[in-house]
Amino acid sequence: MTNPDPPLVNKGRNIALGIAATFFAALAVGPSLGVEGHSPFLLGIGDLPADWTAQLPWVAHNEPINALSIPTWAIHFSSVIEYLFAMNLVWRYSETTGNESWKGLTWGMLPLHASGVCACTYHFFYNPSELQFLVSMQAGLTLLGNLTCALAAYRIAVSNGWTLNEANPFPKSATSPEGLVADALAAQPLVLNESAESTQVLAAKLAALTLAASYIVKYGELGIDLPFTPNPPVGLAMVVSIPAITAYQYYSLSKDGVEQDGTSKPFSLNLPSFGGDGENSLSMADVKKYGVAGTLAYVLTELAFWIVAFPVAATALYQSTGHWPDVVNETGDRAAVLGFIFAGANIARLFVPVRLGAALALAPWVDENLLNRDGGGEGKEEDSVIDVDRQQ
Amino acid sequence: MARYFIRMAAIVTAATFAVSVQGFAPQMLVKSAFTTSQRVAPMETSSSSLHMMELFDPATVSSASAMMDSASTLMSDAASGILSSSNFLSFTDQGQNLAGTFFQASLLPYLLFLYFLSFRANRISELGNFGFQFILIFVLSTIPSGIITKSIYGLSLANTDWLHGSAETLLTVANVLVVSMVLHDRICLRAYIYIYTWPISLSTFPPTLGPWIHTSHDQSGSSSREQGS
Repeated sequence: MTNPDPPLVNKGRNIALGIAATFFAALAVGPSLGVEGHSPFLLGIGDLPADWTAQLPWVAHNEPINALSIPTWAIHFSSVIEYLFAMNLVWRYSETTGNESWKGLTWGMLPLHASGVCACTYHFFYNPSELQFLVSMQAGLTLLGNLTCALAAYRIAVSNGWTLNEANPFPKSATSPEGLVADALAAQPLVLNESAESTQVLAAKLAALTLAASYIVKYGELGIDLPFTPNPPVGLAMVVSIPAITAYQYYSLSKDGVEQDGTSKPFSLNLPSFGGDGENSLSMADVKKYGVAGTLAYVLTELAFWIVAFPVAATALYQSTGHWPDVVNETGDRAAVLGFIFAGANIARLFVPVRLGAALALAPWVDENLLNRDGGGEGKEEDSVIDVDRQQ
Repeated sequence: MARYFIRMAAIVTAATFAVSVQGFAPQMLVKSAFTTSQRVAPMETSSSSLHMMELFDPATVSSASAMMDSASTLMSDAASGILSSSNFLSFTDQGQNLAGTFFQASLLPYLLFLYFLSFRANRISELGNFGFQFILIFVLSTIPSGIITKSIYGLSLANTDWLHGSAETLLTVANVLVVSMVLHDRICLRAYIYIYTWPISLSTFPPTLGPWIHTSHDQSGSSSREQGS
């Protein structure tokens, strides 16, 4: 069979099968070589020595014996991140192929993403039997996800001309027109979008993100009390909120129609960007049209927003816990503050259009009153504003 | 067509194997663990060992033990077998609980997913398709590793770091393969077949498809030239 790059496909396949073979070999000989039950994966490369860990300023707990090693956490995070990436690629595949039904597969993959988050949450709490429901939930989400993926793939196949006759294993008549449309589609060349980043850059980004997440979770969670007492509501909230954010991103993407920028956005699990991230109809580009005045107005708006937002969040914490946040001494507060930052920043994202709109409204005022005060170099700014007016 | 049959047979075999191993592996393991005494500890869930359970049921044996000296040793061994078999509740072999049922039931929809996904007109790349299939190897790998962690270390797979990490590596490998499906700005397999056969295929296609295909061909032509250089 002809193939665009047979060595590449075969190489990928052979490497994958080789890793699987290595796994089964290790499984067979590992226990007899004296590998212990709690021996870390890959000899725990990257793990900090226990006495170093104890000296970290925030550490308030000893690591349980069944804590995941850095390599195992890294494997988990890379799986989750790659799956998010794959969901994104499938979404973009609908644009490459012009077939909208691929987007259904991204939605179909969502329960499996949630299933992965479920497993990570279970490990975050050091696999307690009290949170066994997370394992059942993971299994349930796997079943649900496989069903939704099967349904999505069925819809893709049907949209490309699949009929029940395709499942008939017996040869059809040579004169039958059955399946010709599918054959025509199959023979159509597929021109894939070039990814904006090279594979190496993407791989480096993935590795960096994976390692950062592994270290932050493994050693960061020693500084908070939360993971050391099984907490079903918080566990459930983690399992619901992260996939909910992913779902919201695709929901807003499908509402906006087309992605703003053509570049790939593989890591859709963005931590809150403190500012507009251009996913809404108003974008930073609109503000930038106003030049220095626009940027300054934007900075002012952001400052005003966060000056209000931080005390509001702190007061909310005070209202719910009865005391002001103390992240230095109270290990319990750290989790609460982190939770508030996470929730607050995602609520703040909803206000991005408002903030951008305010910055836009403020820009002329800034231009007149702040930039023109000393009378130097104002002509350039005015020109840029006038240009924008003309364009509109 | 022969390839189709071979493939379907391979998938069905793998599926049956996976299901049966999930169902019976604990029993096999218990068998091997007790080979020295030549006695089988019954598992409550596996149907094939039900008659064994009748034979070695501690209740029935205890009544017989008064008559037979050997039966008393049989009983105690069988009883300890039952006790130890309750430890065999591992990650994948959770036949008794909800998670096990869900995991086993999710195999069939996944096979359907693989079937529909690989439909030729979907034009999914070879490596991506293989990546989605590779997930089955990951699932398969959690079965022996779950058994080993339980039988040798008495831990669950999630608590046995080295096996947990290595099994999950296979999932990561599968995901990397899936991600690679669109990463490469290469034209997929079908395009090449088309380029070599387009004079023939163009004439046989429905006329409405003509211009559409022609445009695509132009694009692919330029891409293939770039790639060749």
